[in-house]
Amino acid sequence: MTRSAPRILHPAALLVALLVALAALSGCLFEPRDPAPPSTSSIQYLPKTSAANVWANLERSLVNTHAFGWEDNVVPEGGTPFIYIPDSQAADQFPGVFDGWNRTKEVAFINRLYNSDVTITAKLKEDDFVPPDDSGGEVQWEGVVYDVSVTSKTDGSTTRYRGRAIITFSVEGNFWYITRWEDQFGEGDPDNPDQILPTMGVLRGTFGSK
Amino acid sequence: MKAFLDRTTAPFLALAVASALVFVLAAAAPAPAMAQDFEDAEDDTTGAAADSLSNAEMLRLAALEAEAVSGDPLGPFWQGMTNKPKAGVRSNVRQYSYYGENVTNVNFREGSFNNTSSYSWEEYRKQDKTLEKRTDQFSYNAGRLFPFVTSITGNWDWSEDLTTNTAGFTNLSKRDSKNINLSASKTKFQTGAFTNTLKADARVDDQKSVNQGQRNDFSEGSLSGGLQSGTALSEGVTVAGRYFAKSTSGDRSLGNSTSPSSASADSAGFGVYFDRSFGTGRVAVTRSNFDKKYLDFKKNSNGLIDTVGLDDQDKVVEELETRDAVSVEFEHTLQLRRMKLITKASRSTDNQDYRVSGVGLKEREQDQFDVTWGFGVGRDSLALSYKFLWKWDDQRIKGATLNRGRQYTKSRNYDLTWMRPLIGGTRMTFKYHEGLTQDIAEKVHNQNDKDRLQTDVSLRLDRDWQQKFKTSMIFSYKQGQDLSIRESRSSNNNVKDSYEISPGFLWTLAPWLTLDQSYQVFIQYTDYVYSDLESVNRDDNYNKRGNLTTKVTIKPTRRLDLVVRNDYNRRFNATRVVTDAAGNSYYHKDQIQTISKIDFGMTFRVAPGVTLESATYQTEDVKDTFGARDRTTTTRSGEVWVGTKVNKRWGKTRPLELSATVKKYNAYGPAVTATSADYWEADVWMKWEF
Repeated sequence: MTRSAPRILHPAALLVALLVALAALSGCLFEPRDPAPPSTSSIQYLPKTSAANVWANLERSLVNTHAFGWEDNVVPEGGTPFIYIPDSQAADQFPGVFDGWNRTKEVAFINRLYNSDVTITAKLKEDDFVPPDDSGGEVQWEGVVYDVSVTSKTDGSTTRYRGRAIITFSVEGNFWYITRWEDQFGEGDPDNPDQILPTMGVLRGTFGSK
Repeated sequence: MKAFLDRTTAPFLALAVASALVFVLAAAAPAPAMAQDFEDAEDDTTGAAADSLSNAEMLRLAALEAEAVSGDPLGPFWQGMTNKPKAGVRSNVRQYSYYGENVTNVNFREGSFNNTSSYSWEEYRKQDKTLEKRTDQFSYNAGRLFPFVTSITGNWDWSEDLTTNTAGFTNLSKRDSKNINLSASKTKFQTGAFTNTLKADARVDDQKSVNQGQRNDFSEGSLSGGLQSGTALSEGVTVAGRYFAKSTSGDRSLGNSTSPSSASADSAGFGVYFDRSFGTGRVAVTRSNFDKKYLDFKKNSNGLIDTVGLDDQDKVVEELETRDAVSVEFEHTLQLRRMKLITKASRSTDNQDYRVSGVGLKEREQDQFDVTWGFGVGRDSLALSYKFLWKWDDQRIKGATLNRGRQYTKSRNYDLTWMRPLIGGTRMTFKYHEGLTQDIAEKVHNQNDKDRLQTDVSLRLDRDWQQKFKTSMIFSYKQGQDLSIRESRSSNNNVKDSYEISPGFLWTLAPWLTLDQSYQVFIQYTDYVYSDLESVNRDDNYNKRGNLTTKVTIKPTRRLDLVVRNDYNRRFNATRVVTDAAGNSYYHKDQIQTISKIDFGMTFRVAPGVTLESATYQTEDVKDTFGARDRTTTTRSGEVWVGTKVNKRWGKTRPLELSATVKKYNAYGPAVTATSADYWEADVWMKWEF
């Protein structure tokens, strides 16, 4: 003979839970703050309808130290996972920091960098670099040479990062995103060719390990 | 060496005496049953106690103890030796690798010795780079020769990385690193009412490395030890405490400078663990700190190396870094039949200070509170969770008289999952998530205050139709609000509404034939909050994508598998040009893109252990762009590869094993470069055991 387990919760409890859920559905749980209307002209991001636009948006995000521009162009969770692969120098300098570097770490890095009271000049590709056409759902850019200078507003010191990278872009949902950034090596300082500059791996390592 | 020993051993005198006392007590005490629930004490680990006896470390010690008593106590002294040499070659689109290794195991009546030597050489295809590595790792455990588990481990890592950049400059990054570690431990031994775990280590590290002409060498020795003790206060209630300390001393060289280095660290923790009628859980407090003296490059207030314009002797500084951390954690689980309530709360704080670096003093604090409530009523099951995270960091830059101001991150997330079987074999899963993340800069030390509100709702229906036909339907809605708070950043504030509808089916037409088809429609509206302002040059937009995927799997014989797949997707991007008085929006088509990709894959099992594989795809991408001049571009890309997999093993007592996967790739398309147009992907190795 079997006996059904006694109910410890009345169906009314389920109803209450559903009401809680419905309250949530109305979107009233959390409320963002009221933003101040813009005082300056907008940062002109491009629609993410091509890999070239995504790369240009990342450059504009750096120049304006505007985190949304970076976060919005790195592939979101749920799609192809974002991967960063450092060059040998950065990997040696920050052992373990780049293990499992994903979107969460990339977003944390860019926010820490922008929040640290810096100004940035950036040129994410050389003028003569011709990117390949987008075709299908993925495209890889090889030999991208970027040049980024970070100046501390606090002490005025400037650090320059110039590296060569392989960048992969993919289509997720309706748009293109950056899905992989592989730094190959640091490039020479154009003002002092004997001086090899660090890649953005060193910048990521510095802010990613804080 | 004497100076090193003097500096290192002094803080450990008390610990050594205590350890000796514990060993004596352990040897003298009988072995009664362990205090119950002591295992829970092992979970008393936090970020603040990273140096302490972690759960993983405790498990490792227990495994070592188990290994130490697994030998045959009555057998001969020499119980055998095995060698497993292996050699292979790998190739892919990025690099070629040649590698070899030998694993040696020697078993004695008491204890064992293991050694792994390996060598690899890699040549990169997409850049001028070679990497050579040599490693050796050995471990010896003394079995039951001593009343505690004793092991010696050693590692040698040697690598040489030669990379030439586009200007022709070749950088040598070379490292030669050696370490040896003597470890002694005893887990879960009784002294009176207490159950204890004791661990002590002595270690020597030696590294010589050079990168970009700068050497980075160190030679250091360290001693560390820890004791964890717990006892049952009453039935179901256990208290446990632990202490861990480590001291390191030696010399470091950075660039042209050489200096003594030292570090000391300790952590102490205390916890109460319970398993009573009111549930299971724990309360734990941990405090840890360290101070490290080392050579470092001069750094600015952001921690970035800042040596531009400095003389060589000024580029390297003698740094002193100190850190203090405290964490408090509470965890409780209540289970009443089909209801489970889990509550977690924690606070952690830490201060990190640099004597020379421009970073100065960093202060951090983090509060976390999670509650998860799951229960079942009848055929329904519900799970609700609320997660709260509030953290901040502050900085007093070197030389400043005031703090910078706190940088807050505040995050709250609410999740609901409701599962219910509906009619027949239909199952429903409903999920709701709402999360708000806020960045707040106290004293407005930057302009990056922002809020992100994310709302996700999804409903999934699955149904099995008499095994042969399965259907699924997903409805999903997402809204993301990206809002910068300050006026200098708010021009791009936007609200994105996304909709997804995805019906699909899997039809098993016959045991050898299945048809899998799914259709997805994504629609996204982006509304810029301030797009009506003249100063904001942003236009609202609308994007739609339809994707039809069809996959046919055919298994005409037991040895042959065929898969044909087609992905057809069409994307549509438009910008809002006007909204009429009735609120209807009108959009201008910017671009229509159609991508069609067809894949074909084949697997044929030629003989036992031998498989022939092949795959190919072709993609056509047509893009129509509308503007001042309409434009149509068509690109085509494709790839074909053919390969073989072989897995063979000969002999039983001294087996010889061969594994080979070889594939030849050819590709074309606008993004295909010389290195990815024609290459081999291979992994071939041979292993022998004797």
